[in-house]
Amino acid sequence: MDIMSDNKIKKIVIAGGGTAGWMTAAALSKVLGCTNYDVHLVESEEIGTIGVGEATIPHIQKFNQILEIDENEFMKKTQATFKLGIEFINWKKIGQSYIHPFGSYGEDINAFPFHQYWLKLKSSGLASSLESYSIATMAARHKKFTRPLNINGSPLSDFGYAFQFDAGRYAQFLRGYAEARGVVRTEGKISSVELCENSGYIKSLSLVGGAVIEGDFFIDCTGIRALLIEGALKTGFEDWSHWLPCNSAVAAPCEKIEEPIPYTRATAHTAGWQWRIPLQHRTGNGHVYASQYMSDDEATGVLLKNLDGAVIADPRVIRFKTGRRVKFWNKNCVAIGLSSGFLEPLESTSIHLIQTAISKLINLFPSRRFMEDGAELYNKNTVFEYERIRDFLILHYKATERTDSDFWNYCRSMEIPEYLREKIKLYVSTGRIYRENEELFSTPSWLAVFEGQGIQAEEYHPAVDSMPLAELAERFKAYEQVINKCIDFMPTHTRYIADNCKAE
Amino acid sequence: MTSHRLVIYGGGVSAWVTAAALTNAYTVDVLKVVLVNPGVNTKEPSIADSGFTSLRRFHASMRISERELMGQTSATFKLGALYKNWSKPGQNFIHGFSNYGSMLDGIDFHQYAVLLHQCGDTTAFDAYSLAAQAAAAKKFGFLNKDLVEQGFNLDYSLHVDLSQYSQLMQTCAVRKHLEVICGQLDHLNLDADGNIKALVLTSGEVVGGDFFFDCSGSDSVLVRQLPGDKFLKWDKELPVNKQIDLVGGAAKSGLCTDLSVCRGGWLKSIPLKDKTLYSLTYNSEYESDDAAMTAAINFAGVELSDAVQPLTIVPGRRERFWVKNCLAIGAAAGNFTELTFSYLHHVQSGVLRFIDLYSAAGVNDFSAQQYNQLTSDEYARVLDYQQLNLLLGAAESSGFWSCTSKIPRTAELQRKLSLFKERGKLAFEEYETWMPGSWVSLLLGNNYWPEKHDVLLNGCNLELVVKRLGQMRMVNSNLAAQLSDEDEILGKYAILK
Repeated sequence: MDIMSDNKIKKIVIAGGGTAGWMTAAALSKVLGCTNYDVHLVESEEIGTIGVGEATIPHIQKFNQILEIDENEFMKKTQATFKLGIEFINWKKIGQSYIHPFGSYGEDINAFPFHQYWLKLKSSGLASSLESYSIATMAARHKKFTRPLNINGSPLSDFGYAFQFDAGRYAQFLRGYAEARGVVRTEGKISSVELCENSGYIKSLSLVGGAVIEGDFFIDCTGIRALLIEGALKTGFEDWSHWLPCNSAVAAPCEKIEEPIPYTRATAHTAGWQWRIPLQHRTGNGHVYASQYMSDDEATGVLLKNLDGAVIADPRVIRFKTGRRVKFWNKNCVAIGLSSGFLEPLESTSIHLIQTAISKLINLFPSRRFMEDGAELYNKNTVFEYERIRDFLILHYKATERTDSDFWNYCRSMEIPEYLREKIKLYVSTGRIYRENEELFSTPSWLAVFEGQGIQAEEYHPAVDSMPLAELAERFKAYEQVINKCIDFMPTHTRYIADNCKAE
Repeated sequence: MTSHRLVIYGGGVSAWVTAAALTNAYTVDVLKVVLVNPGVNTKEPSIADSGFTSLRRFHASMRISERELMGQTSATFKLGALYKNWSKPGQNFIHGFSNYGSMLDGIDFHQYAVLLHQCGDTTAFDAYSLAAQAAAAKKFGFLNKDLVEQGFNLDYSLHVDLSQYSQLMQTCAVRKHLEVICGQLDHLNLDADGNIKALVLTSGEVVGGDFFFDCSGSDSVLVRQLPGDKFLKWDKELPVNKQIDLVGGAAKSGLCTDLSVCRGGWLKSIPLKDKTLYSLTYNSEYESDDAAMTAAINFAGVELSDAVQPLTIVPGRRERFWVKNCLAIGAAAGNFTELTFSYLHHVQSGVLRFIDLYSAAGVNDFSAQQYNQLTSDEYARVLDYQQLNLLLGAAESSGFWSCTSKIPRTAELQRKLSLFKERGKLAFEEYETWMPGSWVSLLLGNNYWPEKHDVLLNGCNLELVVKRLGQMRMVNSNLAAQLSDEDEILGKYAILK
């Protein structure tokens, strides 16, 4: 008992507030508890956070559950809307659109994936568009929403949803949560990080004005600046900009001109793309671009020209470099959030990566004696996560028919990682999609982007032929009808928010 | 006022039930009841009956203790019919007596089930029936007053041994004031109008009376001798002509009558406390007697015995049931098939209607006309119901079942099906044996779904509907789990035998 308590980490210091900092603080306060651990968070009100309007993926529900956060409460406080997927416009070619939904297409038949049958029907000219078989997509297109309903066998029970919310308010919300559970917040700007001479471990943070915060374990949530993991520990960074050449973003919210829709929009421009995240009170927008192909002024112009409401704050330019930290856990420090690496928000993965980082950290949480024993596993898993998301993002740029700019010409013809190359090849030649281990994006996601961006399978699984074509066509028709019926009965997104989580 | 004298001719179930009902309804000062028992086997069901809920009301009106009756007739509690492999291969559906779901916001429950079905719901319809949940768990019990006031019900009937049941009815009737004469009919004495004056027996004995009941089974010994009698065959409407009855050991549970399709027709089993009646009803055009016998023996799990032979059955009815001063009851009046059928209900319904219409002041044409009209209507609706069961039997498509879609239907059944298919509404006729809820649950449980939901549901809160339907299912299964084990309750009843 004594050995245990002697070895136990006593003080955890989180450097930086923002989404990453407060999500970490909230989770630690709930799961580890502040009676056993002192959890401190240092942040400065002077330093802004990156998050503008933040879009998430369905895994965030799990985070809310663990924290026992009432979803409707949290939505009211963060001006949140529901999200059923992302609409990609102009990616394959200008004027084309598809939705990457949260949820599957159709249902497996005889243990074979639905899309194999769809490929066959399509080749016979009997299939409807892929999106007609996705309830999440159809609901998004009709601006409808309901949480999944417990109806056996119904598409209504089988889709996911996430949220679009104001990241600033989200951090505030979680701050309230974490402070109520004992997290101590210190206001202040970090001026330096002190290391222990022998071990090289972080010993303390010094704040402007002279205060010193010591700790046993440090979590770097300082964003792109990465003050601890890079600034102090010089961990190193692996650059991926040759695959994902965008390196800048200009963001600005605008007034809402219509009731918020239940999906995020990602519209490709000539040197990048623009996000549109509809919230209850306003719309978040941003233009992600490659500065070597487009100037900041031009990029800002493109953004402003493509807003659907009046701009309500000065556009803000953010610089980043896509890639990852060589180690995410180094010594007695773990980097969570943008300090760990940067992947553009094309598939809304930032918050998810924060969440998985937290959950891995909690699982592998160290003691003073075994400070780095979990680090290797943590780093290995995080590299895997990062790389699989990276490859999925690269697919969006690589699979295009666009020839209207140098940017797209570069992307279309660039070399891509081997994993992605093999995945594309397998789909084209056999229609098969394999999910590697726990990679984040599963079969329907890959299918959505493959088909949405013009990568087509040349064959389908031969086992599919065991079902007579007429029967297959009948089943597909029935399934489509069921989806249409479900959509008929779903409330509008606006109505659903009004009934459940309207911001006060 | 002189007392009228009613004469019953017959010695089977229908005769004894008629005697018991009449002696119970009238004191001897009003009506004198005589039964002439020919002492031969009557052509009518005699092994077991799968009752409807009306059976219990009949017993209550006779002041017969259910518990005693059950002890004396090897009875089991019946919660409904189990359609095994009927409308869809591998699907089991329990058609319970009690209600399915409950009304929401003034709209019939089943409309919500239709709505969810259209959204792809695959929940079994009987998940909404307490009776079905109880039967599936082999549970039974009597709901307390609180539950009943909350709208729950676990309506039930009984499976009874018919020969023991006849005995019981005989005891009841004799205890009242029945006079029994043994003897076989030689001929009828008719008056100038064609009314029966007396039965002249082979012994020479003359049994006179004011009114006569033909309870002689499907031979219809009395009515067929009366002027203008005619038998209407249902050979197209119910195209079966053979039946094999086998008695096997006691079933695992007595709570349901089982029905399933087979090549030549259908199989039915009625579980009693100590044995089970297995019957196979078929059409000999589609199945040979030998093949049917093999199928029946496999079904019943008994040894082949020469004593059992296929019976010929002739579905149909008399054109008129009440002719002059004679009324045909039971098989003498009409023969349905053994498909969702209770012979006791058939008999009791006839006697009770007579009691309702009989005027002690004498027999008049109005009573006869009215009786014949109402009974014709009732039979037509029973026929509709049996036909519907045949239409729903889609798990088999060969043999007998290749012809079921061509069965001529009444306009009423056609209307029922069309209206239901179109928008889930049930056309309810007068003098139906089955209540609208029974028709609806039979249809939905056997996958006959309407094409549209009720327009009243447009704009309803789907999330709330799903939640409330989920609650209904949960309450049913929780409630079912709290009931007693069937064996335990039946065990208590057996002590009284």
